[in-house]
Amino acid sequence: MSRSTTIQAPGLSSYLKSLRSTPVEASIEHFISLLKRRQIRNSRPCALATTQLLIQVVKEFKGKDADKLLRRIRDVGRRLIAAQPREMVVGNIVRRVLGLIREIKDDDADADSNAVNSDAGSPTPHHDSLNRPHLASSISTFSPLRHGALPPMDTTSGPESLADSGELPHRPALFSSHTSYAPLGTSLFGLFSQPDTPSNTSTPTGRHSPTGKHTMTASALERIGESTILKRTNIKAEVLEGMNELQDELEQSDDQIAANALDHIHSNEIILTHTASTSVQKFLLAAAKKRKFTVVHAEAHPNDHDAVHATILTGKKRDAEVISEEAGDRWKPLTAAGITVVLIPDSHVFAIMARVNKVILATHSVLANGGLVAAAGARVIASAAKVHRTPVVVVTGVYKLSPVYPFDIDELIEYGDAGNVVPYDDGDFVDKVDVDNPLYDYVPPELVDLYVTNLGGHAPSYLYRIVADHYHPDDINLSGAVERDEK
Amino acid sequence: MGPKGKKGQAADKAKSGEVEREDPLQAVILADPFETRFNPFTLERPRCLLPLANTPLIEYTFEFLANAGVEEVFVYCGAHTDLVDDYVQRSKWSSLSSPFSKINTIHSTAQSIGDAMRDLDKKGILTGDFLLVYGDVVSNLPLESALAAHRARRAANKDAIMTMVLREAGTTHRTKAQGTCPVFVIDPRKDRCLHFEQMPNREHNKFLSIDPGLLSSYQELDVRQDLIDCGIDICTPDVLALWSDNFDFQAPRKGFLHSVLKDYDLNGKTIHTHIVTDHYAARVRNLHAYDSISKDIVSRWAYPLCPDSNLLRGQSYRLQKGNIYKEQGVILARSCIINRKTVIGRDTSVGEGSVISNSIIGRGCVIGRNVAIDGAYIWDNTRIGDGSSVKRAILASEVSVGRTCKVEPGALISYGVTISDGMTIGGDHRITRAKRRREKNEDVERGEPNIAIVGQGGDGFEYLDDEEEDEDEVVEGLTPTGLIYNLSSLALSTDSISTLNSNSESDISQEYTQRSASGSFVSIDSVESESGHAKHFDHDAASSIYDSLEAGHESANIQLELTSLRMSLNASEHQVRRAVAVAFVKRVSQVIKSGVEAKQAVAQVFDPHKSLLKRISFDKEEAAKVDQVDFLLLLQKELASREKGDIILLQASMKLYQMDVLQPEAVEQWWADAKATGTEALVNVRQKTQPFIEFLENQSEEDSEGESEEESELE
Amino acid sequence: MATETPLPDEFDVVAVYHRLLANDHDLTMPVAAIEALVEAMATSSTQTVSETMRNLEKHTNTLKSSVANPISLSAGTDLFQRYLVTTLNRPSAGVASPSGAGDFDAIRNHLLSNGRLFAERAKASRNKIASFGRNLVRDGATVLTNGGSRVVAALLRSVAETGSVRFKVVYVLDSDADSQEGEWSGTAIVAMLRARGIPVATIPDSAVAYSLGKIDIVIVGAEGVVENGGIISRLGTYQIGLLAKAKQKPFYVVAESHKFVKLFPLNQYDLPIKQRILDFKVGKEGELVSTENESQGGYTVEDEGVDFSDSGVSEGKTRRKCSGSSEDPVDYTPPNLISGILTESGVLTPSAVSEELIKIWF
Repeated sequence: MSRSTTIQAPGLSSYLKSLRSTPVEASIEHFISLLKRRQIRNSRPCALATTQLLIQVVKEFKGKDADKLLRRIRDVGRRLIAAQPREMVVGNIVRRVLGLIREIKDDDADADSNAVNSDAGSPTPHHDSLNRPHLASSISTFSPLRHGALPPMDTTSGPESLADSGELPHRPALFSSHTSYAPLGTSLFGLFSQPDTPSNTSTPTGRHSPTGKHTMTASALERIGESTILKRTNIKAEVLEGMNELQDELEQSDDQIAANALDHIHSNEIILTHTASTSVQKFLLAAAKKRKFTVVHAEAHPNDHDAVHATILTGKKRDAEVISEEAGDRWKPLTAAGITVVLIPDSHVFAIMARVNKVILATHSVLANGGLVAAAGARVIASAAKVHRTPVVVVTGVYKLSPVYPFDIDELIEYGDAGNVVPYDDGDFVDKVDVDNPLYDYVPPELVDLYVTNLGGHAPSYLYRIVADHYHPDDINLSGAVERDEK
Repeated sequence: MGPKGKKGQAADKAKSGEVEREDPLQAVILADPFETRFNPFTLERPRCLLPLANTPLIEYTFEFLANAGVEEVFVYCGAHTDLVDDYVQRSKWSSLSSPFSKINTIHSTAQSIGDAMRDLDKKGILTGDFLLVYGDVVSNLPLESALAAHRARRAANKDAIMTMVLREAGTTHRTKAQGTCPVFVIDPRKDRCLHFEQMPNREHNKFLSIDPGLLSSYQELDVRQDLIDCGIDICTPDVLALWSDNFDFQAPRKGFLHSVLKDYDLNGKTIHTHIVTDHYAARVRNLHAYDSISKDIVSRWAYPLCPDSNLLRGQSYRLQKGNIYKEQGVILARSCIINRKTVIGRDTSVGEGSVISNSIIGRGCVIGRNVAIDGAYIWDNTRIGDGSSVKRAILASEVSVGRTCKVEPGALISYGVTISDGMTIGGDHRITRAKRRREKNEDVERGEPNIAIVGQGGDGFEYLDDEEEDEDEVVEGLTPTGLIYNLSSLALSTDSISTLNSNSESDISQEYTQRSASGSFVSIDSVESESGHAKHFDHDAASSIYDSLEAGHESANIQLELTSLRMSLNASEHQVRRAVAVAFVKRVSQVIKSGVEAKQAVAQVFDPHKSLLKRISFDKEEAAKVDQVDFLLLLQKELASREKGDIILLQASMKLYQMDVLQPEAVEQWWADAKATGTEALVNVRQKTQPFIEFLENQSEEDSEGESEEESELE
Repeated sequence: MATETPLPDEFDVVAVYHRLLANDHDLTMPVAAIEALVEAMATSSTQTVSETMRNLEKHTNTLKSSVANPISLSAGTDLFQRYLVTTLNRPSAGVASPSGAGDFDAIRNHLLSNGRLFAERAKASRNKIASFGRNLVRDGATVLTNGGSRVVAALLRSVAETGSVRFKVVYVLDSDADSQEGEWSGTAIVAMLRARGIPVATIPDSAVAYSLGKIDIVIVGAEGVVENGGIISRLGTYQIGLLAKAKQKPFYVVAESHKFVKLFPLNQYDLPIKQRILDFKVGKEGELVSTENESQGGYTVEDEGVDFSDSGVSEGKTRRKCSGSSEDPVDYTPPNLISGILTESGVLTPSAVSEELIKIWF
């Protein structure tokens, strides 16, 4: 490590700095150890670090073969996720990048298939290319090309699908996957879909059908197709471009979310919120520009209360990392915007809930079933809100939306330093009492009324759709763990 | 990247720019604290590689250093260097991606921390400020503030040479050192440590002697003994220099800290403290600490240093409710019960009906049916037969315990030991297969199994080294009884051996008596078997005494020098006597050479040093005059080789007798002693003394004039 | 089985269908139906699209009419139909007849040559679902299930075989499940689990509410997953769902995606099958006359083309006596009771199901 700062402990900022100057492998390992040591924690820092790292990975990636790149990213992703599975954002970003690559790759594949067909001298390609745009809707998803007529398209994806961590032969075929991320649409037909390895042999190399020629020419053209990829599109460049967009999304998500603020916060409302969240702060600030309301802030003892106090006073957490990363924009506390802020202990939540008009929660990560993992105490608040029929609005960037289905809640909950609850000095406690300090809560979907993301507002039950739009089904099963998501 | 991103980057740079330093932060890990507290395990493995919660100790230290942003690490090993070196090489820390730009293992023959520091000073590898930690520190505290404070002080005053990082802990705390407690006298305004005392906290020693000067010169003093001293020091190179200047410093706290603070007026160096009240910091200084720190880690006091953060490559621990950590591939029988605060490593299988609680079990262990394990530490690949029970014991790797065995609290079972069925291992047992400490690149030398302990077909024997033996009795008295009795008692027992070459807790005076007791049994010819630094002592002491005899120094001074030397080199009273004997004999024979009559010579040499000579034997009251006999034997042996040895011996013994250094009984016992007639030479050299003995025997009634006629006889 | 007289067509699809089911106990009805249809296609010498479709239609109807409860079967046939339709009637086919025909041939060949493959795929997807069981069933959990679902059985088995997971099973066995035979009957599954050392308790339907207190998760199979995400499953599932909901227990459905069926039942009695569950009777002992009441599901769907002739009804009556696993009475469990539907491609929320179905139909 060429990190020349000796006093500063490693963290997000120092890591991002080091990225430039360090060989990728080292950076990966370094990131892993930082994750393990919890020196980079919480969604945003993790997301930023992951994106930056992957950008580096792509940059150093040699060769133009999309599949190789996919595999590379997936491997890196596995390692990162294994390092700290509870930071689900890491996995999300990795999957986003994978999806990106697939998209680009499939575009190329398209072009090729067109090339193939036109070679085969059939007008179809024009049709294809013409209604490609509105293919995105639905039926087009099953453009039969991929099933019957063009086995090669599948063979191209053969090796890759094998690499798909033990995927069964049945897999959504290529085109569908990029025209719309609705894998099941194909997997309903998956039963019929051209099998990858076994039946390419068994499919009749159409003696009497033009498909025969297709297959020939196509397979022949595959290689040419490859080469055309080489000279035509530089995958790396495109991917990097996409990743920078991703980067920007991370940077801007808070502001985009805040743009919705006025739709959800009305004058003279009493808003209850929890933990010091940048997103929520910006959200409230945006609303405060136009409206006057009251904010009741639960302090999230014992893990986050310092940050909360800081936020209320200064508008930003004392946390070095957050500062460094928010350094760009200026901060002011809500009070400065003329908002009345009431700080309450978590224990007071239920009592005050009766007077609250709306609960606005920040989240650690959002799960595919519409539930979420948020700072400990969130569930109490959500439940209290339920009892009082108070609407619960969750503010989150889409990047926090994880395709992982929460089979086992316990595995999502991180248990933190018991010393925050009882000071370690207290010998008797340490010796005689077991102290638990969960950092997160799982809030089931039925306790949430609305999600406000940088894409707008969604009902919990609709999240599966957003997931489907953002993640490729083949990428969900990343870490080899059998966890899958809903589409 | 987005515009904001750029800004962020820039901000990062700026931010870290402030704290940029030219020289990288270095750290020295004392992988071998030159102690025997982890025997018998340390016979075969270096201490820093013993698993704590299934992760080698040194990993925690590395994590801590990485956490603190250290860049260059020097691992300073004594014993088992090859193993440590090998481990470090293979670990991720020496890989390309390691956070450390440099990581070296230094092998040395140092016998104490003192030597180590002096050695380091010679090597001159430490350019700037550096961290001095032990290979067994477990801590998650970030050091920025401490480092900053240290550097600030540095900048203000060059003499602020060291900052000790101390963790505040309540009056009673399981992780604090048991048996004794360090006391820090601190000037709260400057965080300056003014006085340090290692207090054995026993009833009869509740007094702390503080230089009244301190009391007068500071209106505010903190006298604290609620601190966990986790041995994390931020040092400047001056510290090393200071070590070198004072060749007799051995222990960083007892020796170095104590004395440096004491003679502040001389060296003018100040040592400061940085007391942290949050975060975790502790040292696995002995088996008791091992016990409690393991508990801390399992119950997440040391977060994020807990099993499920999988510090080591290839670990896959998952946390379950109730602080149960299971690695993937653990096989549990349907009816077995895993209770709270338990760690189980990969591929370990637990049989039907077994109950495991508060225990840490390594990888690949096989736990039979209906086994009860509570508060035990079981390392890798250990087998425990059906129906056995293990409570609060430590079983090292590859141990195999038979069926229906009972391992009682406190038992320590070292690598590869096999206990056959139905045995009961008492809490005071420490069973091993290794005869003695494994040396570089050699295999552990196996001892004969002791059937009585491990049972028929078992392998292993009780671990005893003669030092240990007599310590244990001493220990009995001072260890707190109770469950942790054995663990802590072991810790202490070994403390007191290694008092001089470690910052351990038991007090010196204790030491003397033990030493004399044990030392005196050592046979005369045991010189060769003495440890290296003991040899130094023989030579140094003898020569220094000789010189001062020649120079005719005050007896008191010689005494002083001798004691300091003795303390510094951890020499036994026996050695002191030998040194004295050698020196005096040498001097005498020299005087004689210069033409003086033997009798005069002896008188001339011996007379001025009555006090010194008296000081070397402590058994005036006892019936068996072991010390005096020992001294005589030494004289005899020394003289056997010299010309006129016989006469000198006679004269010397008589002189000592007159000086009342020797009591008649002693002389007789000596005469009777088998060792005295061991060899030809010894017999010869004794002959002339024969009459003296006879005289002694029949001198009970008329002594004074008997003596005169004695002399007449001789003339 | 009451098989109608084979149609003029030389090919007896029904016979084939039953043969397939008989030969392979692992085979689910939809897949069996599909395979039967494929064989039908193979025998028929149709060259044009429309002809094929008509032919297919005919066979499908024959099949549906041949069984009392065509729901799960129709899932298969519909899927197959839709597949052909979407593949054959796509724009390009119309324009360029040569390539269109080519595609048709290709598809036909593909289907014929891979006939057996479907069954294997179906099983593969079942195994895949089973492999998810590990996430669903946690160490120390107690699972409540019912019916003779192959998938549930496969899932529980795969969990049992991992060894590391220690779980118990509470199996709801209703009276006529006990009387069943065959390797996928409830009793058989219970035996299979017990043989693998899994503690299993068998309870009657009436004990579900009582036992729920000790249950961590409810897992049921389904004959069909309907558009709104509800399921059609063995009689008794609905009440388990209700109870689970009341007790806040997670209620999971495991079903392969080829069991998705285009139905939108509004209530229990809105199913395209005739069940004599509510059989009101009058009269004295001995000569009880069943009042042919309309209150129950006598609702016949035209497009199903099933005419519930008297034979059908009488067949329905007989079913109560000779109950084969395929003709168990079923009920409909609405989506709001279902926590998640576990398919081979992961867990769906009920709301996601309709989307998938819509995709293939429109």
